[in-house]
Amino acid sequence: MSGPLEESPALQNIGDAATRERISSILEVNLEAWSTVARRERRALDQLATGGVPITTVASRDGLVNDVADLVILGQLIMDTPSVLKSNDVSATPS
Amino acid sequence: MSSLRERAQDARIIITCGPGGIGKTTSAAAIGLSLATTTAQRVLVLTVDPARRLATALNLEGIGNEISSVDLPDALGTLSVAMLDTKASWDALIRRHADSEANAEAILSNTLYRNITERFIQSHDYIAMERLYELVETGEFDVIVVDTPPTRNALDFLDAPSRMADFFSSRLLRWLIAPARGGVAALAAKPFTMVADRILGGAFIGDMSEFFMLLATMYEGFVERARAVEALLTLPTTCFVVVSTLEATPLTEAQFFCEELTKRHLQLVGWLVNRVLPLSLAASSFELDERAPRGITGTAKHRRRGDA
Ligand SMILES: Nc1ncnc2c1ncn2[C@@H]1O[C@H](COP(=O)(O)OP(=O)(O)OP(=O)(O)O)[C@@H](O)[C@H]1O
Ligand SMILES: [Mg+2]
Repeated sequence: MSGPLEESPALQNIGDAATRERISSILEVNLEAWSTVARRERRALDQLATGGVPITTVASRDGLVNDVADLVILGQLIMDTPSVLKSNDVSATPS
Repeated sequence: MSSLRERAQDARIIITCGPGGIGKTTSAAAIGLSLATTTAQRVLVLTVDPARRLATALNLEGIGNEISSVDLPDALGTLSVAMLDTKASWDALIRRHADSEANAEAILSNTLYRNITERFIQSHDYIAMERLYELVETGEFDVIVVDTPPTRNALDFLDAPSRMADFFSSRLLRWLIAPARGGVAALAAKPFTMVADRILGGAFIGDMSEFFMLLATMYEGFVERARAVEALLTLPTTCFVVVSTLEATPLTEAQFFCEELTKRHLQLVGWLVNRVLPLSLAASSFELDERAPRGITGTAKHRRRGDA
């Protein structure tokens, strides 16, 4: 199966055609899996929003929450990210 | 829409609460740091069981109940941190309420007391709120960010002050202290103590009675204090942030917590949904994401199914 990711500029300079195809199909499977989880999360957010309490969302910081500088950034995200009442607005969330 | 900073603008106390392991401690530290760096306020973070690396980052190692300060060179305000030391807090509470130095020492050296402080009815929850009250009373801080202990039931710490007051007014306590006090009550309690004596041993009962009797001398102070701690939680300047991830189990627990806060008319300033995936991922894979590199955009139309 030839994945659409193969056409990505990011992949153009990597290995030969066969390698690119393999990488792209792995990426696609992963993306598919992650987007399934993300859609589930989005439905949960929608459901939560019906409660009428403003919601601030914060992305996972890849374990970067253990020193003062990291925490300052996390704190800023928590405090200053505009809250949402519908997950459609969530595009405003910094990732 | 407004941000948490705007909604918690007048807050003197910010409490992060929610299910276990979802980032309450981390968020409390981050909120405290953010306030201390960007506003000219004296901020205190009161934390419970911080992860080791976080404790190190915050300069919080092995300091019991003492308050330490975090060096923030370019900050507009100051940041202090304190950890909750349950045992030290109970001892301090006893010393404050005992009617004499001798009684305080008697309680503190009572074997039962030493065993019980760890297991005392909701001691952890109550003492967290008690310590908060004490820190507010010092007047040394403009804002206190409070991390909450991981409880089996997220509401325990909210109910702890009133449960403590109830306990001290309870019949149970009167029965427990009866053998040491003598008189009519002792007679009434006799069948109980006789059975208990046989099962538990006289020394234990003696210790227990002495302990509860001494505790009873502090009754008024305790009840008054518990009510004051309770009142602190309901102030309009005390704000609650419910933290959760979007996984089903913590979310259900957090939602229940949210309802309870509302029912009690406590100031719920918002949800903090931690560790979410970037929502661009939820768009039909990557098709709707304008930030995706050209060449990816528009090539995944077959993935539209399930798009909300
Ligand atoms: N936004 C984030 N990004 C990455 N890691 C995070 C984030 N928030 C929390 N963590 C990590 O998740 C773990 C649990 O966080 P934390 O200790 O703050 O949770 P907690 O709710 O206080 O737990 P407990 O209920 O046991 O006290 C920690 O290792 C922390 O570093
Ligand atoms: Mg914690």
